[in-house]
Amino acid sequence: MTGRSCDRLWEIDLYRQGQLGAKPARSFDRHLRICTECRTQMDRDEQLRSLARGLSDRSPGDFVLGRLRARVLRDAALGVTDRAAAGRRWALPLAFVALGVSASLVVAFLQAPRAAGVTKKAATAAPATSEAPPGPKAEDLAGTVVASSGARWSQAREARMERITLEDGAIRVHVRPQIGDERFLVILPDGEIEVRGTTFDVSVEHGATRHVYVAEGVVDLRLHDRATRRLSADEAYDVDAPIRPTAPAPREVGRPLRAATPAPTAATPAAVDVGDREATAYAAAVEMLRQGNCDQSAAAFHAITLAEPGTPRAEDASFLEAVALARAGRVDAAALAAEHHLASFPDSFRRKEAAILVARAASQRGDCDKARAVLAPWRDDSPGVRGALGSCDDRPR
Amino acid sequence: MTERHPVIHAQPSGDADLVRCVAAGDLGALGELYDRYARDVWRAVSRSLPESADAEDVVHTTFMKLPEIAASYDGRASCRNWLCGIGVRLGLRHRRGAGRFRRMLDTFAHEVFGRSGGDPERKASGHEELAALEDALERLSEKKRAVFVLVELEGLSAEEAAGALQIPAATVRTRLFAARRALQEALRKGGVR
Repeated sequence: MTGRSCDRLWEIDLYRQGQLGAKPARSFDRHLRICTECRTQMDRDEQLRSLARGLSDRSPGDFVLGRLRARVLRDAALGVTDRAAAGRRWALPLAFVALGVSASLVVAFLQAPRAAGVTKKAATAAPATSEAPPGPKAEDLAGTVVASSGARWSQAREARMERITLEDGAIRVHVRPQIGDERFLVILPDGEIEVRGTTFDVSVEHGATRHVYVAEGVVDLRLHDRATRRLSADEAYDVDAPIRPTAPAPREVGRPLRAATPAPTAATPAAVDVGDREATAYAAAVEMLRQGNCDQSAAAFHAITLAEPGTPRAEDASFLEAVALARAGRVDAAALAAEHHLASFPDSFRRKEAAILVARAASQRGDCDKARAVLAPWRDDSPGVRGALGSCDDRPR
Repeated sequence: MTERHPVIHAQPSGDADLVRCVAAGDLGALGELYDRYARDVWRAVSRSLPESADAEDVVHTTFMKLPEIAASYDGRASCRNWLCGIGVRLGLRHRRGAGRFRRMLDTFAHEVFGRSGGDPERKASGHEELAALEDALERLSEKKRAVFVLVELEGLSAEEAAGALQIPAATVRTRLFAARRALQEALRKGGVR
């Protein structure tokens, strides 16, 4: 910049945005006719603005956004703020501080051996009496919950007792094996489920338990007006919802899911309506997936698997639910859905892809045994298998 | 006691309602706001940060802070600009943190080994002007860049940017003026304008 600048250059933005009053705007209008510098600056600003509009879009893909969404909602649910991010950013300084503190403690220990002995004793005793750590962490919880859209549930843990309260909707729960006297309960409006370590689905509608399916492990289902039922792997408890007029009478407990496939019968008009409705729901779920609404799509596919268990459409929906969850960046939830698909449809055309989803999640959390086991039937060199095994791939390249 | 709250999917509603619900701990509302604006916030943040890898952490922090800052929302129909502003401000704060050391090393390496001279593919495709603008934008000071990103790229008014960055509107205008001058000068020196 050389020479003297026009004093009214500062008014350009206000003029452009219509923020000058009527009289000052007219004045600036007149000024523009005679001031080359202001006119030139306006043109240059507009050219810059126009050029800037062509800058590459730095927004991320759906997968990244979906993954971050899951992280935000998980951390918000757990009451975590941005500690994880802060932890990563401050890892190096904290390491130095920790080193300094450790050095101070060592010096203090050497200088006061008696006091150090007391401290050591107290520290050893602490785990036996300590409560849960002050900051809630995901790893404190024994259960991982995948909820369908609209599900109302909560999860709480106190000492060695963990409770999930399901008020309405469907959830899939994976519970790690319980250690010692740990207990894990799912509280239902009309009863409870006690778990020892398993993966299972449960859905509640209008205050009543409608469906429980155990993918692996064992659960005890205790409903208020019925005797305790023990459900093992691949067994289900089902009560069809009364809101579906075409639904049959309540079914018996302990029935494997695949046995639920209805025998071929002549379609009544009502059955055709239901079929059309399910077909429409399936098409809508596929469309949601195609448009990138992965969470909604997953919930819709999940609803289809519950609505018509054992059918070919449920088989497709079950796999696509896992795909939608994977695209949403919910790796663990996708793996649970894929495991459910493999358990429910062992002859599925998509079993390799489902196994890849399970293996990918397992390898990411360092569970190489599981990753290798689930992909054992497909130990080929395809990129999908290699990619899923990741660092767990122990075969020579 | 470790506790998780219900995930309640919010019904479609206005941003002001959703922000209120978020303040009350409704995760469904938080998810809805995320779905509506995360992409915009990410874009604004990544433009204002030289390290796009940091954008994810800043966007995460932006949405995690929503419940505690919801009270400062003025209730207008769309909270897009408000969220973008918060994201960019958090991005500035983030830059002042420990990451600065790492970036200083990166910058040092950049200067020692020289710049790549731009993306050849972009130059070949006739987008040299845009490449030059990208470079010039990255060389702007963080304060000027934040204002330029919010006002010129994300469409905030000077007053909205001032509110987001917690500086006077006059300061926004001054920085914007200086940013544009710096960018135009850089483009001129680069021979593309």
